Amino acid sequence: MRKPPRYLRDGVLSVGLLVFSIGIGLGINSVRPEPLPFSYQAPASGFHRLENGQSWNPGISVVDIATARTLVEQRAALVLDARPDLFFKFGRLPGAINLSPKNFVTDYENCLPKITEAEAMGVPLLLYCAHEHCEDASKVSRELEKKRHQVILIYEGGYDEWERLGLKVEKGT
Amino acid sequence: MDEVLKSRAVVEYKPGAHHWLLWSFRLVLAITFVWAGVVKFVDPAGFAGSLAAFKMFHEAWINVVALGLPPFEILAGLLVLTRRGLEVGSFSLVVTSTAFLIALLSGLARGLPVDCGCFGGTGPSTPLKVWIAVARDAVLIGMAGWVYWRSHSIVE
Repeated sequence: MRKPPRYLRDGVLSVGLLVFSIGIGLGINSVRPEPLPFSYQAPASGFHRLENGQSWNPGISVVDIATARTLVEQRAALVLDARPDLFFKFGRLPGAINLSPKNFVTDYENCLPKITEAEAMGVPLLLYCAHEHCEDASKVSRELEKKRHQVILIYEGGYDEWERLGLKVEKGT
Repeated sequence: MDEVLKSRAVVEYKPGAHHWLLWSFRLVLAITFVWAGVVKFVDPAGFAGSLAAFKMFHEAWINVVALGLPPFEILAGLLVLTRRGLEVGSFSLVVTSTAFLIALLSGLARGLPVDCGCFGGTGPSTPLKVWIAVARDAVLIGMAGWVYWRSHSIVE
């Protein structure tokens, strides 16, 4: 009987290895403190979604491009950029200050005076990161909520959508 | 008798410069993919975000791939260090790297803000970052492909 080609045999074994690996991955996921759900959800999908013009309540809410644009252009929110500082310097939404999860402790200390001033004036915090699948803005928003900051908005589309639409950005330090 | 000796010589592996190059490639591949697998294994949500940005998978599959691919990379990386597992390990790495390369080029072509996520995270993407990942994948495909091609010359 003719032997199958080597690559066919190795292909079948690779598929078997992949199936085995998926089993291991799913098994370990089931015992993680925060397991991934079976079906993917965008990082900000678990938060309340605000429609344009809707007023915000305490807590974390997600806003779309229209609301974010209004808040940024009217300077009606304190804009926080949750991306790494290198990308913050390359380009950011107008008026944004950097508050990344990687450097949270230092960045938060630097941002706290502006955050306190904004909250005293009743102005919400508007967070964003790279795009809708980036989890940095969600991570920072949860940290801010733990520190009892009240109104936290997440612009889900992120810097990529803002830039793609040709809206004004700032660059440099 | 001569024929028997000749046929054995064809399949017998003869150490030389290729031997050390093969071992170097195997080591580099093992370290790279085990490290990449561990980094993604520790942060599956971040890797899932990277996969979602490619817009190539249905939502139902993203987390399954995010959970299954890191152990696959780790196991394949370890297999290339073994004699028995060298072929299937190197074949698996060729396929994995090729899949990443195709995904990156597809993301670039569609103008998507993709990040390979190969070494963790959904960090912001730039075209330069993506092209560096493409070049890296091309090198890894070359190395794994050569290791696979040479693996048949090792005595079974």
